[in-house]
Amino acid sequence: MQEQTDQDLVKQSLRGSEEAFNELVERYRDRVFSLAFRMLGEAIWAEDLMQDAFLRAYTRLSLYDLNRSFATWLLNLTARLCLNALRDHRTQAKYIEQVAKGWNPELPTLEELFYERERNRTLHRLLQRLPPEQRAAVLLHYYEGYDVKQVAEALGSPVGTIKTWLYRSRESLREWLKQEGWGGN
Amino acid sequence: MGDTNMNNCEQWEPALHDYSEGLLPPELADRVKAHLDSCEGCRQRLTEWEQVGQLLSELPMLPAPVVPLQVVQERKPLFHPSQVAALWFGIALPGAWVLHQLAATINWQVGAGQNWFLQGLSISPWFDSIRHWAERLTSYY
Repeated sequence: MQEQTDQDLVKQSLRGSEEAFNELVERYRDRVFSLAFRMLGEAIWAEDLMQDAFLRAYTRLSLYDLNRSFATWLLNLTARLCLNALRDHRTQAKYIEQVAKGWNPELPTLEELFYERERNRTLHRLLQRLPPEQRAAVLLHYYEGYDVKQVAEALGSPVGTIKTWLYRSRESLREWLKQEGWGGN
Repeated sequence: MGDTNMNNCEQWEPALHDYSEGLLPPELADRVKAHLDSCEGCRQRLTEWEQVGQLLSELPMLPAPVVPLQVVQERKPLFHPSQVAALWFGIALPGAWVLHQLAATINWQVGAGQNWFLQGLSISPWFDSIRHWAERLTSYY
């Protein structure tokens, strides 16, 4: 049986099919969660943001342009939600507090669940040092494979600004990786 | 002798970045390439930048927790967005129109001096108002 396209599922979902929307969630939740985790740095926060992203997608599905990529639309939405969350200091403080308190001690850390190479962990930690906008640009460009114009569109910033952010971020990461002993490998 | 001076190389950096991203026009890309051919420092920098980009692209995708899917389900609004317009035009607006007509009728009753509160329990004014409604309705078309 031929797999339905995202657009088919969106159309069905707009007609009220919950199954169709669930299928979209199933298809994209790993990508949305991963982007949120890389942006926010905390699994608990990323989990909540993933819920917000899908909820937002559901309520705004009628605004999605069927001629464009659903993945891009959803990831743009996720990136903007992450930026808003990072700008909201109260939300940030809440999650930092929850993480510090061991909010859900039964939930294993991602590192325990999924083995990541040491370098990936270092890179993930260093990513959190970048200013949120630069982090979003870097992740959309290098991690999600957007071109510079798409990143500019997603973040609502001029192409020149995105190029500068990418340049500065890559240079900062290069320096920090070197300081951590990963340079030139 | 190539451009090995550090200050000079720092000036090249933004162009070098755009070069590595394939964002430069051909003539400028040729100039950067010529500089790279003669500058070991910039070649090294370019390699390291490309490694950073490579590492970022290779960050593993993480499996999302399974539970939130149910939570998303629970947090969904009562009505699907596609139903909201139908509810609005099918129930809310007609309801508001009926209430408005009722208020207008009462107002007309009072304004016409037919204060039915003072007419005991007679319900005849209601029949008048219904007739009035019907007249108003039919006069629209």
